[in-house]
Formats: sequence, C-alpha cells, structure tokens
Amino acid sequence: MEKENLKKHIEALLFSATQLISVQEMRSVFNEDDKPNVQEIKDAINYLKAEYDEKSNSFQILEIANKFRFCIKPDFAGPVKKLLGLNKRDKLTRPALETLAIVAYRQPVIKAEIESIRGVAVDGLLRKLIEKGLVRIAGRSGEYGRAFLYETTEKFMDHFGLKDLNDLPKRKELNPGSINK
Amino acid sequence: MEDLFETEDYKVSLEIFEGPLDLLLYLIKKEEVDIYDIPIFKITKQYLRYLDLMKMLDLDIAGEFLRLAAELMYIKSRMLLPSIEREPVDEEDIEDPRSELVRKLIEYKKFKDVAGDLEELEEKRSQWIEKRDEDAVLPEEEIDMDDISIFDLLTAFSDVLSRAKEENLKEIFEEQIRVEDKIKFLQRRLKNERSFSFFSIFQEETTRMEIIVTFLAILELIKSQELKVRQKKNFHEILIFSTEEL
Repeated sequence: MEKENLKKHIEALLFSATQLISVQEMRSVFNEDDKPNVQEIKDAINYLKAEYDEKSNSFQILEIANKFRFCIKPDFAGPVKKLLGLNKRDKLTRPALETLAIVAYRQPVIKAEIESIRGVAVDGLLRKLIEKGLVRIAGRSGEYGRAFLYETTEKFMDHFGLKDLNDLPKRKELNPGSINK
Repeated sequence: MEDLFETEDYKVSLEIFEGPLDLLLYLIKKEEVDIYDIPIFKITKQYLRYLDLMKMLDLDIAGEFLRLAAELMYIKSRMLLPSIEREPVDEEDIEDPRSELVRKLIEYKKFKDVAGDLEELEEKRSQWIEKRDEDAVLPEEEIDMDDISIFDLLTAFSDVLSRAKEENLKEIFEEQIRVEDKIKFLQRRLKNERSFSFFSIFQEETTRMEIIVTFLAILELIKSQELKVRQKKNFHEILIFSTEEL
C-alpha cells in the first residue's frame, strides 16, 4: 500500500477504536493482497505522531503497553473532561501506590513478600487493586505452600502511561534484571 | 470514655493510612538523623509517643505497630548490653543490632520513593483523555491524602494537645461532645471558608476532650473525602481544604 494511503488507514483505525490496539491487530484487518507489514504500520504511526505535533492538533497517539490509542492533549482536556463528566480525580493513595510498586518491580510476587517489604498486611489493598484491574493473579508459587503470585496488568500500564515494563522509573535500581517481559 | 467517643462508629482504621515503617522513616526525617546510624533511644522514645497518641485517639492500631515497637526495644536492650555470649573474631564480626532494621528501612524506602515517581506518572497520564466506551464505568475514587501523612496530623494533634490547659482535665467527665457535632461544625466551616489552618480550629477549644473529638472528626472527614489536608513543605503548617474547592 502506498505510504500516504496507509497512514490514513491507520488514522481511521485509531480514530474508530475505543480501546488500545496493537500493531498486529491493525495488520490483521487489512486484506491479504494489500497487507502492510509490521514495520510499515509502525512507520505510519510515527508519521502521524509527527504530523499531529507539527499541526498542533488537539489529539495525539499515545503508546501504552506496546499498543496505541488516540488521546486528547492536556491543553484541551479541561472542557472535554466536563463534557464527559470526568471531574473526579482518580488518584491512588500512597499505600496503594507503594503496594503497586512492589508488585510492578518484583512480579510475579507473593503476598508475603509485599508484606515483608511494607511491614503491614496488604490483604485489603491487594483486593482493591485487583478490583480496579491494576493487579491480577498470575498463578501459584512452586514454593511457600503454593501461594498466589501477583502481577500487574495492561490497565496498570495504562494508568501510568507506560509503554512497557522497561518504562518503569528506576527499574534497574529496584530490580536488577529480573523483569523479562 | 467509650460512650463519649462512640468508638464503634468512629474507629478510624489505619490501613488507609501508613504502616510502622512509615512512622519510623517519618521520625528519622523529622529528627534529621542518619538512617545508617539511628539514635535508637531517641527514636524508640518518639515512636512510643506516637503509639500512645494513636491509642489515645483509639485508632485501630495494627499489630505491626506493636511488633515494631517490640523490635525497637529489643534493639535498644541489645545496644545496652555488650555481647558476652561470644567473642568476636574481628571487628566485622560484631553485628550492629540495628543493621537488620536499617536494611528493611532502606529496602522499603526505595519502594516508597518510587511510589512517588509513579504518582507523578499517574498525574501526567491523567491529563491525557482517551476515547471511552459509552458504558465505561467511572472507577471509584480513592482516599487521597496528598503529601501529608497521618503522622504529620498526629504531630499537629500532639502540639495542640500540649497547649491545652492541664486544669481542664477534670472537666472531661462532664462534657458531652460528640464526634457528629464536630463533623457538622467543620462541614459548616468548610462551606463558608475555602480553606483554613489546622490550628485555627483549635483556638477556641478548651478541653483535651474537645481536642480529641475534633481531631477524630477531621479524620472522619478525610475518610469520607469531604476535606483534604495539605502541607506546603514537610513539617510546616497544615491546611484544611474543602474537596469541592480542589
């Protein structure tokens, strides 16, 4: 497909989506005889991003968890929030953030490890984080009486605007080389 | 006592606030001491004082707070007694009784700090609005303490308490102040004023009882998210805001 044309197709896909979409998902909806490859789609996304910046559009493409989505730029967020009724801030508490940080950097992690680092019980907080979809059960540990293992979700990356787990701040300091996602 | 406090209704759980390691870090920062060389006597004394304050307020103190208190007192006793059980072979063999606690604190502090980084990312991300499904439910709001901790509030509470006149102690049993009434009083004030300082609430207070009840009312309003407490800088004046103003 011709570059300029592909760019518009990708824009149309992103425009129509209400969820994050991956390059593979975008690729899968093109006809076989005209299917762009992964790199072509990535290039198209980058062209679009540059274009929106250049034209100072009110929206931009955000990359989260290796997927993409249109977002309104902060400069234009005020009235949009009112229109959508998003006036309430959805901020996590410090204890919730700390618990989440431990899960994020040590995942998959058992509850006992989180509690040993924080020095308090985290049952209530973990349950809340799971309810909010930021944490999920990843399986069971081979040791420790087959305790549940917890990990962060795609929604977690969305909440903090992370491209992937390597995007976590101070990742090397906090967990030397054990995140392999 | 219990009747006056209505403890069942007004037991404030600390789970929404911080844990014992937070209190220790808070004290280390407040006293401006070296985390690697904690003056264990001073810090233990302070720690127990805060525990007393929490007990006075009948806060639901988690067992972990007591466990750390026991640990601090154990370390204190070990520092008092030179180890006689075993002769250390060389200098490095003498383990500082504090080292395990310090290790725990440092490890915890790393995550506490990075939680702050995540908070910044959260704030940045929240300014970008994505397209939403029609039926997307708004997530419930969490209790937001901003940068101020329960310990900052306890410090302020303790200051106010120490200013209360001693002679008022005898009045306690005659007073009938209820947390509900104080909540209503604060709600009225929040409606009329955008914000006010923590200490200004207590200017007209006379009895310790009233101070305690007022403080419990503040904690309740934080919990129900009707007010927020903020501090411009650590250990500075605490301001109270109506959440509607933010």
